[in-house]
Amino acid sequence: MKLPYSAHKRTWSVEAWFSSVSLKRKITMLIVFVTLIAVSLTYVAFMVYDNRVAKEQLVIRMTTLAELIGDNCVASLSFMDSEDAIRTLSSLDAERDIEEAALWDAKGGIFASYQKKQGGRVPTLLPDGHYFADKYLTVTRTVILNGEAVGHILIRTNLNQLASRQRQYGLIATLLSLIALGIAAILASKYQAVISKPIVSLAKVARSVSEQRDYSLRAEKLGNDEVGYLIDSFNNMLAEIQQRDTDLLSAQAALSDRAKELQLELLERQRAERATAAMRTFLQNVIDSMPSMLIAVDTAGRVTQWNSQAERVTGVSRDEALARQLSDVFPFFEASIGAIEAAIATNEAQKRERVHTEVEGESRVRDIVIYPLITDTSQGAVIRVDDVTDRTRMEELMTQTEKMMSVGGLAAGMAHEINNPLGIILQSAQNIKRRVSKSIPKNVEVAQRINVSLEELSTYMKERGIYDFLQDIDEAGKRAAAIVSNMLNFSRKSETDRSSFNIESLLDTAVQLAANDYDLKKKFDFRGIRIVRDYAPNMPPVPCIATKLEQVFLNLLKNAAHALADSHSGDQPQITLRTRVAKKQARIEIEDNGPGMSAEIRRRIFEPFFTTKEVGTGTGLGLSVSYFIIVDNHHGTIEVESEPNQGARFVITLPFSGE
Amino acid sequence: MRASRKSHLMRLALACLLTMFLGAALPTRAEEGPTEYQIKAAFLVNFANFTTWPDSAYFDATAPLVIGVLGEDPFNGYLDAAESKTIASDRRMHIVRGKTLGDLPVCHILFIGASEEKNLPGYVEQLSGRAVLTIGDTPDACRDGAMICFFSEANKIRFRVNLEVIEKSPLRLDPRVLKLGRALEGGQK
Repeated sequence: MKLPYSAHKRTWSVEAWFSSVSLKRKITMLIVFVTLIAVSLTYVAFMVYDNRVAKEQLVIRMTTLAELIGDNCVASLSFMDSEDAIRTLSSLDAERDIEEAALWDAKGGIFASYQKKQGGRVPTLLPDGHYFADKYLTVTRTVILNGEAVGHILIRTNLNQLASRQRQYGLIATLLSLIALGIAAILASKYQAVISKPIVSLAKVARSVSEQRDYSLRAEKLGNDEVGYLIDSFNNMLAEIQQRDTDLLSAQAALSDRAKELQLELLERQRAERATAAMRTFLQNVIDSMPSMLIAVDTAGRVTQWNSQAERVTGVSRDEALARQLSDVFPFFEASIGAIEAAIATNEAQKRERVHTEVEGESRVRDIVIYPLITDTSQGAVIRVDDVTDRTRMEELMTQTEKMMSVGGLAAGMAHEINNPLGIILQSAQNIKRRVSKSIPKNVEVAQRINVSLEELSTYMKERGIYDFLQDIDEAGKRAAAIVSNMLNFSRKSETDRSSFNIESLLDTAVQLAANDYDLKKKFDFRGIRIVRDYAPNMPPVPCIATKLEQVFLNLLKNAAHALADSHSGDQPQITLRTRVAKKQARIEIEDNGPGMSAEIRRRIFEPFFTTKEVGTGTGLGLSVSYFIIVDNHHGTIEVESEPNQGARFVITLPFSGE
Repeated sequence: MRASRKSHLMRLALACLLTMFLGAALPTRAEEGPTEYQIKAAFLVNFANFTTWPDSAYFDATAPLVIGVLGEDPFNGYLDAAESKTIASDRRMHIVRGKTLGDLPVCHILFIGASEEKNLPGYVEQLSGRAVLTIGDTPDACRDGAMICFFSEANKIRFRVNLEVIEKSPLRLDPRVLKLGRALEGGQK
């Protein structure tokens, strides 16, 4: 079986065990241990000493005995009376432990001997002295009479008495030692308290202090020794700690009050900061929500504010723009630097309206307002840039619409008034032609009656070109009637025949009509023009009056064809037809790559009778009629986008809803 | 004290040598062991050692112990060796010889030889109450009033003591000697 590592490694040591024992037991054990050592040493010393003393005593006793016996034998020796000597020696029978004795005369001859046990051998003579050997003590003395050696005596005793005495004393000593140990243990356990009690009570107090954290406790002082001093020191320390605790508590309370105040302050500040941040965010959001570009610059022209609209328009992010030169970030402002400086210098707002710029091929119109910005810390300018392209266009459109409507109303009223006299003129011219005709009997009858030959009259009129005049009157009258008829359309609300039609098929029909409507006199060949169709897929049908829309498309195609005919650029003439779906509206574009037109012409192009063509080439009403058809009849819009030499694009939008 | 003991030992050794020399030189009746008077001479010296005389028995502190041999001297010169010895009281021994008591100075030990056996009672009477140790050479001497008398027993020299006489004298005999000596048997008081 293998022991676990820890158990295997664990070694029992006295020091470790002893250090874990309580003080009381420690003192008790120490005292008992010391007593044990002392008693043991005493025991051993006593036994050794007693052994020696006993031996010495034995030697002295035996020597004395030998001398006594010897003395008793002096006369025997002197008078050579060995029997008497033997009798004397035999008196040693009384001595239990004496085994044998012998007497020699002065010459060393054996004189008398005594043996307790029979069969013993006569011992050999030894010089004076005592000899411990083999559990026996042998003592020899010279017997002296009157200063002369008269013989030698030997006494040999066993050591039984010594041993028994040793045993007895050993027993007694052991008993005494045990008693002493017992008494020591009892006394130690009783009186260890003298030492341990103050320490234990101190330890108890110390434990209470450490467990309860009650520094008001005090250890009881029981004496003026070192422990007493220790207890005094401990109590002083406790008092000091208590004092410190009290101080600490008050300091803590003060600190906690201060902390609360600070926390309140902090909360207040945080609230204020949040409010500020919210306000800042709110302001930034406000600024960002502005459809205008809002840009702030400092006096050196560096960007300090750049809102979302500015990011959108310029494509430069706020982070990129900040602290850079405005003209670097957005070259558009190069022309306005002077104005910015002027605003800062004069402290007056500077305005630049309707600034035209070309952005990615698209003409944009912007209003720039530069406000001087004076704050506590800095100076600069805030620049507001509004893209007014759409608004400008709308304004133009509105103006045009109003103009067109007033002109249309005027023209329609005029046409209405002209229509009657024109009818009379045409009627009359028709009548003149009819009244000189031979095929009408009434004319023949009246001619015969006044005796005029109708053939001669006809010849005359032919000769004088009267028929040609009449023909001219008729033609001009008819043209005027057509114009009037068109003009009347300006104000006529025709709601008939409105139903949904496919815009693409209407466009295709218009292209076919235009292709057939070539005119030698007008010098253009529609078939030489490339027609590009760019139709949106899934274009829903548009509610409209088909013939009217066809007429509009035809007008625009013819207009484009005329423009292309006038073009002298080498490009292949091309008309692009484009349809798109946009915001619940159908968007139709008719675009040519012809010479284009100036802004002057563009603004007036839909006005009645406005034409760039030579007199007689057009009525000047085609685009006006188209305008009214789209705007008035179909509630749509028609615009033209064009620049000189850039072609022209007519854009029509028609609502899908029909209203 | 120690030096004196040493000198005693030296003398003892010397005595031994002398005894051996004499023993070898002089003719002996028995080849083994000393002769009868050799032993008796030694015994005389021994008695001197075991007996205490009152100070008044001596003329002064340095006065020798005088051994008187009355009658025919049987010691054959063996006693002379005693002259070289001292006794316990550190006195020298001096041997004097005489045919009658009147021939002798005041003795401390008076050896009355067999030749003066018949005169012994008179001498004893004369010396009664005096500090003189009277020693008879015959076994009956004690009966006649001698303090000590020699006799032979089992081929050994033994002696009797006449306690009555001794008690009357100012002499003190060592009890150990008294123990060795055969008390006078018979009608002795």
